[in-house]
Amino acid sequence: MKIKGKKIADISVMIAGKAGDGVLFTGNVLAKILKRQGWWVSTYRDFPSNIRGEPTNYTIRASLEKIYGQADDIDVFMAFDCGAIIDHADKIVKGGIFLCDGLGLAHVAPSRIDGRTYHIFPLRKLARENFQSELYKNMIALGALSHILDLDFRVIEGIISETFLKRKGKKIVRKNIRAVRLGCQQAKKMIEQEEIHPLVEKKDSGRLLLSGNEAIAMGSLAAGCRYFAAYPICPATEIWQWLAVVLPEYNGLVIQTEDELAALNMALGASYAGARAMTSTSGPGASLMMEAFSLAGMAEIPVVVAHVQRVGPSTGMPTKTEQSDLDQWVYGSHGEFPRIVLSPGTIEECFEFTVKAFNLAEKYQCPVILLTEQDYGQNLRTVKKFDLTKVKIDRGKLLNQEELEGIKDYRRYKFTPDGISPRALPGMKNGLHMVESNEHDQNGYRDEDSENRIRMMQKRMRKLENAAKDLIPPRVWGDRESEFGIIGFGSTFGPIQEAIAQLKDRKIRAKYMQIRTLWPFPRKKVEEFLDSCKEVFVVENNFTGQLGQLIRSQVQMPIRIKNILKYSSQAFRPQEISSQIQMAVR
Amino acid sequence: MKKEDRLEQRNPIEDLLRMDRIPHIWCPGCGIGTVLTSFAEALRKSEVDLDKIAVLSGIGCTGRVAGYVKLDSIHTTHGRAVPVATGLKLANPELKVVVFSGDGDIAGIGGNHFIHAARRNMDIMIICVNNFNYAMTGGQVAATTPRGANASTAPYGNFEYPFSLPYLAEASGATYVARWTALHLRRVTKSMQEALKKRGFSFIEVITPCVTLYARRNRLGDGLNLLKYYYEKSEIQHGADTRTLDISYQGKLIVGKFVDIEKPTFLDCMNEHLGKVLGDKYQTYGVNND
Ligand SMILES: Cc1ncc(C[n+]2csc(CCOP(=O)(O)OP(=O)(O)O)c2C)c(N)n1
Ligand code: SF4
Ligand SMILES: [Mg+2]
Repeated sequence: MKIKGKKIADISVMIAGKAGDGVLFTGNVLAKILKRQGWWVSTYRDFPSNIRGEPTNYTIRASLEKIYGQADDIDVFMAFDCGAIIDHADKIVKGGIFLCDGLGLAHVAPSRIDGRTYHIFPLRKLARENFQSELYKNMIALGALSHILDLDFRVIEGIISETFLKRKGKKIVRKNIRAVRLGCQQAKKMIEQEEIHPLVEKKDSGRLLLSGNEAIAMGSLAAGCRYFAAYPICPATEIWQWLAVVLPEYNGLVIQTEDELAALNMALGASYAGARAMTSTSGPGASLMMEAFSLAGMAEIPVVVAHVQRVGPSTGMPTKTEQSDLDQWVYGSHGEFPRIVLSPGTIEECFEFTVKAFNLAEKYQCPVILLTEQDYGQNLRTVKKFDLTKVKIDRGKLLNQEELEGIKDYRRYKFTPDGISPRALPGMKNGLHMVESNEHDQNGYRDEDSENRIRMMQKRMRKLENAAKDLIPPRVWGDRESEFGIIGFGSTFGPIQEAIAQLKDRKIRAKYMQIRTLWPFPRKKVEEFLDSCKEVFVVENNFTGQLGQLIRSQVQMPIRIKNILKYSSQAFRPQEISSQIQMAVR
Repeated sequence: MKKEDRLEQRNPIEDLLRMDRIPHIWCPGCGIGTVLTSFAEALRKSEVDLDKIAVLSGIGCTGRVAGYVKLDSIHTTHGRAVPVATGLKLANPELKVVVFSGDGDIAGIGGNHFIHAARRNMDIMIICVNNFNYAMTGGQVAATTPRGANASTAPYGNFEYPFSLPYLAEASGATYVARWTALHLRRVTKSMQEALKKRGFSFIEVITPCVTLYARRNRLGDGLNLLKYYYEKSEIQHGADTRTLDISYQGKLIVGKFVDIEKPTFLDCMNEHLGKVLGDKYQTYGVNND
């Protein structure tokens, strides 16, 4: 927000229009420019699930400090049509500025309401008159924003040629740069100096601008995943699109399956053959995967599923965010079997946890779920370059040919103290074995004897009993001495951090526990945290408070927790958390 | 008896079966065991490297096959043997991958996987035991039950149109399609030998008696009676148009090898296409690049 006399340290620009207007494109170019100028960037998209026609908006936030989500307010608003103003006026901060294409109302004078300035900015008209095509409205809008934000023109030129040169050629690059200049000049003419929001210039720090989906794709490549099978679904498909481009260069394979039943079953087939294999999906696809999820548990086949949550139930709202599928993976499918459910909260964690997921899957020979959300799955954030030297690959008890030859009477499901049996692959010599979805004996032969059943159940379930040392522990943030605690998972990470800062300004100290492994549930750590708090708030993007329920069912002490819930299809804004806590504790 | 004599007398296919699992669970007179014997015979005659064969089954009476072959095998869930086989084949193209399962498994619950694997010309071999019903669960109507036949879930007789599996397979893109009955064991073995050598999606349907359910429910007598029906009503027509292979209740059974063509497989197509588009950047898949 702009504070008079102070340099801007944090700004949010919303670009709004109708689906098909190029809102995402314009916003992404702006995000790249801001990132290149050294700012930490976080974007937030609010798109309908159809391709054309419905209102859509995209917010690009930049800060001098690292940010993990959207801010409470919008400072600069660029609208391709007037309808967007009506929808979002309440989010524009005092002192903020509106630009709107006006759709033929080009003669209306600028007006000032509540310290906010409104300008009619005839984007389409300028585009038509100067470039004979309305397409150029996007770059003209970018030009106007470049004036308001006082962006570095050399950076803009650089990004535009990177964006267009390869696909469209030099001529188009020049034309687009001219359009940006035109927008900038027009804005200079109509916008007064005191209305602009100049950003301080910093140096590009070699950071990346990435979505969580891309980070998961990168993580899986780094982890050695070479087999990816999936069925298209919003908002998970980017994982696959990234891998589809890259895997062919790494002797890997990507296949589009006939449905999600096939997707997880194929990944299991590939993993059974020894490949590191993965699939990705969202709610409806995850429902179809439940059957194979259980097979992975019974047959003890490692596999990684990335689930990017969207709004349910049923088809719900495919492009919007929610945290309502925790129960699906923690409790889901038939029978009881070990599973691991990880919940990254940041883009960096998307990468790290993906690598970890493949190691855990092979070490414990069980399915591992990476549960993320549309919010940071599709939105972009600035991140430091990933440290590839930290990527370690652990294939667990996977036998090589030599080891296998040293074993007399190889048994795929041999009883071992830790429950994990050495794993041979089909095609290996001296490793003849059977993998069974029915209950089986140590050889893998179907066996319905009760005695054996008990021992096999215990063997499988024992695998995760001592896994705590390998799992990703919860992390505590904020003021550790405070008596107000907040617990959350996934995308609430950013807004909770900012809510804690807001509470601090209001003289309320709070701490926050980020749960990063949902299952096996980190009971001890959570109990310690609960024990150290007078009051605890569990923040979740769902209706029923699934994390709250999970905590209640797992901890072995009397507790009182309050849920702060949001299920509007939008991610939390910090203020929505801080104000509820403030009200409750005062 | 001396040990050597015993060895000599041992059925040569015993090496290919998990004899410690025998006796098997199939009813006396059931045809599944004979199809399995043909398969073992085909393996023996083909002299394939047994370490490089994997057998997959779904769930059902036929699905139990995966537990009796002395090969790397996986007993998957109902209908999902084909996608698991696809993943297995693609992750280790060196393996010969064989799916051995029932009609309900392959063409009912797994029908979508079946047609898509054929469409992709996935290099896998499918042996489908068609006993005209869902046997394991008690003789329910299947996607292959002839019209007029009785089933536990069609107590007044089946009125739905059944699939003709060879037609479905060919139309979906299979490169090898044959149909036999449990009576034609030598021919079944030969077809299996051919399919084991084949690169591409091969499909062998074997019409097989289910004495306990299908036959009893329809008062068709015992296994022998069904074999007699196969004998009387089957007609070998190699290369027959697969559109003409519908089966009516106790009606004519046209058998034979209908399709045997060469066509690049999924991996051939992928390697060719991506190699062309990506040039040097492309690492030919399935070839050891170390
Ligand atoms: C998802 C699912 N639904 C239902 C079943 C129950 N089920 C087991 S076998 C079977 C039918 C098997 O029929 P078919 O594939 O023709 O094999 P057959 O027993 O006739 O050899 C069914 C419905 C199951 N195991 N899984
Ligand atoms: S029920 Fe039918 S198919 Fe199953 S074993 Fe018995 S005869 Fe064979
Ligand atoms: Mg059947």
